Amino acid sequence: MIATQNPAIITREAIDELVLVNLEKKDSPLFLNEVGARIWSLLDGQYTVSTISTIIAAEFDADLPAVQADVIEFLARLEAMGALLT
Amino acid sequence: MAAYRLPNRYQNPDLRLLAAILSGNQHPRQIPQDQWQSLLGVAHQHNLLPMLVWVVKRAAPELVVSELWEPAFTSVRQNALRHIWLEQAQRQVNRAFNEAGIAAVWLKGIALAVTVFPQPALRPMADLDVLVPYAERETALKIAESLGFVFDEPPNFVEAALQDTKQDYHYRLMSGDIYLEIHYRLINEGEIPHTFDKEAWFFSQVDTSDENLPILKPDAFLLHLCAHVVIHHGEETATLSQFHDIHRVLTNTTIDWAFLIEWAAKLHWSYIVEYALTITEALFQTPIPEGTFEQLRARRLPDENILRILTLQGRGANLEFVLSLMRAMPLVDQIRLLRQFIFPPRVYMLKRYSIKPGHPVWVYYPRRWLSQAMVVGAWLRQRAAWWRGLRK
Repeated sequence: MIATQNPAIITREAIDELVLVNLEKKDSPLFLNEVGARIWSLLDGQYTVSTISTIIAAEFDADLPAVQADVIEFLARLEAMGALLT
Repeated sequence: MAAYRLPNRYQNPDLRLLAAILSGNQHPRQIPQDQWQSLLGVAHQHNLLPMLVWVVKRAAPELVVSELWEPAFTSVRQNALRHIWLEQAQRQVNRAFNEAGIAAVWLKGIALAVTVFPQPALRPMADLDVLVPYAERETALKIAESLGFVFDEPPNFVEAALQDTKQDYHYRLMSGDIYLEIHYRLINEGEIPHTFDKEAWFFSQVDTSDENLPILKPDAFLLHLCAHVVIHHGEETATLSQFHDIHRVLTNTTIDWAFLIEWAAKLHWSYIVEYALTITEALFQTPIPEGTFEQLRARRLPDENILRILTLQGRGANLEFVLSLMRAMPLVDQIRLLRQFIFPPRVYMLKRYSIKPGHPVWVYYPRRWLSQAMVVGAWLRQRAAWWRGLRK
């Protein structure tokens, strides 16, 4: 599966976090930590979930299966707030 | 070199230490652990909490992991969200002004946040400030109202009184929790009678490289910030963040100093700029080119009203501001405003003192009279000090 950022989502840096806001759902901002922000940056329509997980596992020195599960869960949260075009 | 001793209000050790940390002149690891609580309190009071987190996290990340810092991170997140909502409103208003052919320039927070701060979320903002040509002010007001903005209620009775005087300078509107100030005069200069059209000059100094956010070019931006902190409301309400703004403009933009000095003199602001830069330099060790202060003094025009600015410094400045407002009013309006000061409307008291529903309002009146008496006392003491100084 390839997931892509919804360009209507507004983002703002907050020190080392990234704030995501869907203007149509003002009450549901999402605050991403460094890992979440990195995953978000990879959602440019080029990478599959599997590739993103591999990149994250390598960059943050983490166990790939655990990362893959976390990425899937994270993408589900993004989708729920309308942050993805799939 | 600067000619003034740093006024007492800026001598607070925590305030000076905070300024030194923010400007990189004091490493956070050298601060004793038990001092952070008071430093964070001062940073909060002066709207500098997000910048303090940013600087300390970069210099000594191990320091910001304790619970003590959690409110600071919350503040940063809230600022980031608030910036998004303010930016949306700003773009909507700017677009509507553009379509109506109104030349608008965005001032202060929204302009500073995106130009001289590492991240917009690091510059807390209470409202949006936009300057429009005087002749277009009514059209701008109608446009803002058509976008859902309404006059801020309950009105601050001082600001309401301003509407009927020559010192009238802006409309204050709100939509939800977004406040929009439409300025049609750049600075409230009280009674200073200047024939020079300052607003026209500032409109000739607009940077339109971002069509969504026309802002002042750095030299004009700096002049405005200096005038705003020193005279607009009087220095009594000034915060460290306002001098930090000046510090950031000085260290993150290129200033044409000859041009700045020339226009500081022409605008009758040479003393204002000299004073604001003096405080900024003393607090943040901001590099000011050699000879700047001497040139500002040398270029000062004979009719620049320094006395008016002196009255707005230190304690009692708020009262001085109100007195200058009253001098421009007919006697009957002066009496009405005085009565409102002593017995403010109930809606004002509820907002000013954050009185919870069900609590009696009358008990807050003695508290107000006491605090107002202290302000008058401070003003009288300062006046007496000037007279003693003038007689020497």
